[in-house]
Amino acid sequence: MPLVCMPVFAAFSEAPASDETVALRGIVRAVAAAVLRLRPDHPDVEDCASETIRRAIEGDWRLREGQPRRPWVIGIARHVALDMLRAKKRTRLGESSDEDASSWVERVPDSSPGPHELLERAEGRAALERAVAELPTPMQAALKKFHVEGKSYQTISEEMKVPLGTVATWVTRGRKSVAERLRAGGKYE
Amino acid sequence: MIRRDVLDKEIVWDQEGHLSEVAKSALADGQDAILPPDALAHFSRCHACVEGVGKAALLSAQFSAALVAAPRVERSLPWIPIGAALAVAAVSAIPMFAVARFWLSVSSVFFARGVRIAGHGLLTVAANGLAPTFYLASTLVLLAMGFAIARLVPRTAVQ
Repeated sequence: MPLVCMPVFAAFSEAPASDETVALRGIVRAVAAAVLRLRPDHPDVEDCASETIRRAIEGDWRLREGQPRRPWVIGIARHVALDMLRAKKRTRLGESSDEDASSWVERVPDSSPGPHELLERAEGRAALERAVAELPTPMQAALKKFHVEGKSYQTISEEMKVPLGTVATWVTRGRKSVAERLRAGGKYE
Repeated sequence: MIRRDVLDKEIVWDQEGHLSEVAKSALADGQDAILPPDALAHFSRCHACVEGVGKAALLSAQFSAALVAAPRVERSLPWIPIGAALAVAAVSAIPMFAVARFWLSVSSVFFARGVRIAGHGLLTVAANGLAPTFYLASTLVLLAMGFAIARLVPRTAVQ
């Protein structure tokens, strides 16, 4: 058997990992719909979701031990959707080559970055950590327990002895607040 | 009876009857179990909420990736084993102190000859044309690269 086929074979032979990936189809579709700005039942969203699941199952061997699967698969979904957007843009530009150049500009999707892109562009971990450090202490703790320690909202609620709704609110508002602080720009430079 | 393992209705829904930011965030984080069944049913049929959950999932995933990213740690030399080995060697050398002068003179002769032989070997290789010199240089470069990858490149980059 050629060496290059081995990881693919290994990925398919591990049914639980594949099942876990397939179970993320709902969230993958939501991510694709958000990036493509299409309805979730649009054929392009379905194509994007299927391609993401295929790539995630085939590339399962790349997932490092201890690395959470969910963000990894969501990252693949985002890349697949962005590739699809770029391909569409190229096709549109090719089709309208005889049109006025100004119409191209109108057709180019809005390139203003969203909060997630701003987060990605942030000056690495240091800027993010500074932004997190400015949050109230319990909010920081909830975010770290969820994102770094991989604990569920329920577990965090029990550990911090606060209602479940409080944890959910801390996580949601904490993330939003950090993204907004990073969006504010120069403040952290 | 109030369930403590499910989010309250006031938190789950917004004023327009859609899922709230908190509920969308919980779905994005895979915390479906803490949402009431009607919220999950709404998510399965409301396109606006699906898009909102998608955006929340992107933010959450990139947050995780940024916070969990391993710091770039250079692989340092294993100083403790090196120190232990040197200590053992020093202790083992104690009985040799009595004949140290003899061993030092033998060693100096050995190293002087060794350097001369090595130099002579290199000259012989160089005198035999470019090919042997090139092979030798390639070997040294490969060894240096191996050392660099094994010791100097950060662990994350190798992975």
